[in-house]
Amino acid sequence: MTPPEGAPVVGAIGVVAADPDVGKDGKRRRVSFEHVAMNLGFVVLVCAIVWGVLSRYVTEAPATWVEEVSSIAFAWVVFVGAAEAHRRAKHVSVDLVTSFLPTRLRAALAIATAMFVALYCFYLAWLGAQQTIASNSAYTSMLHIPLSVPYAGLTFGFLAMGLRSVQRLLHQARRPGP
Amino acid sequence: MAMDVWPLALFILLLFLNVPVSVAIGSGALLFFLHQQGMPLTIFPQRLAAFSQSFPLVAIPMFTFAGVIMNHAGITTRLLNLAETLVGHMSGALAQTNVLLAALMGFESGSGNADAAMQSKMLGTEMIRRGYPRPFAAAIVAASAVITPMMPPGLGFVLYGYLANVSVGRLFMAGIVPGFTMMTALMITTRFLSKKYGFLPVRARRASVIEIFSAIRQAAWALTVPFVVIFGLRFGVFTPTEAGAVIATYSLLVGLFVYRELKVAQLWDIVTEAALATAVVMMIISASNALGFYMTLEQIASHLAMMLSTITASPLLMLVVINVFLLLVGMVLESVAALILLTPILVPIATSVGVNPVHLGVLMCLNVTLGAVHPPVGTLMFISCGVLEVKVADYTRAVLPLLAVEVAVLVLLILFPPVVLTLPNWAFGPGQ
Repeated sequence: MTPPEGAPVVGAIGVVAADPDVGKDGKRRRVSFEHVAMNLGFVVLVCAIVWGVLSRYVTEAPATWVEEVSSIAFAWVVFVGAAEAHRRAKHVSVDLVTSFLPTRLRAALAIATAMFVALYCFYLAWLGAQQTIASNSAYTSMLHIPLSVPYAGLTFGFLAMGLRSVQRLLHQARRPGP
Repeated sequence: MAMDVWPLALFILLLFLNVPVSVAIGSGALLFFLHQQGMPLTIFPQRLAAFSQSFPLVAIPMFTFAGVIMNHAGITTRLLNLAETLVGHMSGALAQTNVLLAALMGFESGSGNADAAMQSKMLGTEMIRRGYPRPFAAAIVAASAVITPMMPPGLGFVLYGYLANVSVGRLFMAGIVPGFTMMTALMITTRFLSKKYGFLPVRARRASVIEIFSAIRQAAWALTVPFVVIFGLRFGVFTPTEAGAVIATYSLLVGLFVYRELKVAQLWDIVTEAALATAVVMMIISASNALGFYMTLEQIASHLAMMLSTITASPLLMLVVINVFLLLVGMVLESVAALILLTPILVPIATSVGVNPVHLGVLMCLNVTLGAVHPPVGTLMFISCGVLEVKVADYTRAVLPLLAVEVAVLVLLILFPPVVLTLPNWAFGPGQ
């Protein structure tokens, strides 16, 4: 897969990739929906855990809802974050074999694998949607949040990943050259 | 019963076709689920989301967050300053600083990936500017990042402790001596290589006691972190997950109000960086959970256990066999995935012949991290080569002597269990 403009050549964990939404002047031009949802989920996750510790030692009544909230936020952060990481081409992949292939073959293979990734993501979004509907009538024990909420995160994350793959493929198709 | 090997075959094929690791693992697992008669396919998304039900795994985003904050809060630069004060007079001072800083950062964040990313940018680029060969700079950054997850709070230990049902506090303590042993071994190797290539010191002479004391005082806020973690866990003040959140909050407050290097406006980017790193690692864990389901149902564990138990009943030989196996696995499997898939399989096999699970945990965590240093699936390699723009072939040549030393340390830890077990047994009492 060709990384979007400005992203590092490898999908490395921890590397601060050039943010595709930040222009050369360092100003943010736009922010993706995945990005906002991911950051929001992460803040909820951190606040819940911190409150869990604080409530145990500072207040009289330790918060019992922490695990439920953190579990849901965790699912959303990971699946929606995976979509955002996919948009920035940050997922780890192994180019050891493909880097030895001739350029044309490599380009063709990149398109084929991108299509495969898109199909995988759409199929998982479909399975996720079924699981979301199936689990909508069950609730968590403390806060009575439907169990469909974390699965909705999975469905949304994979759907977004699939759509971003298609977007990237279309972008490549419009651009001439390898 | 004939074993269904197609899921594994598909996973390895996709892996080498440059498909993201998490999708390659997930596709292998999906193929298995598609072939199961009478099993609803919605079990697959359930397995993928299973990680969110485990509170211990929330430690991963928490410690990652803490590490990212430290890099922005001025904590890392003060530790860098301390490391440079201590070893700046040696030849190859920047490389030596890199190794020492990896150990110091280990006590703060515990993610080798975060360390490699930070060190590539801070020390790697500086080494290249001062004439170190690019491949060497990338190699020393990646190789030294192996030390980071061995120090408390190492993320690998959190994962292993959760999967093997072993005390995370005990594992944290167990990693310290091996971590320092690895640091010493790498520093000796670096000294030898630096003399050979003529890498220079950055200080004219050894730092005075006053200079060292001043550097320690500046880094004092950072140096208290490991004590907070170890004492907090030892006396049950908080769980490992909560320890991560406590350290993140502590670093945030130090950065905002003590060092005043952190601005509120930076928080958006810090959260982004931590959340992305979390998502990338957790997606591999999530898919590995699903593939683990296949390995359980196909009884791959018991096949493997039977095979291994026919080889030997000696704890030492069993450890040798397991470690050779893990080094081979490191050639195809990403380190987190290897830990997730193999811990539940290998722990019962090893403990049945009398191997201490804490000893095994340290060896496994170190062993799978070594897989991250070399091609083809080396995440540490990807990071340092990506930032420093080094070709994998050049990097591989440069990293081989360092990797050889690391394997030698692994062998030492296999042969002498007390190196690993003395400290945790002293702190937590004998037992597991």
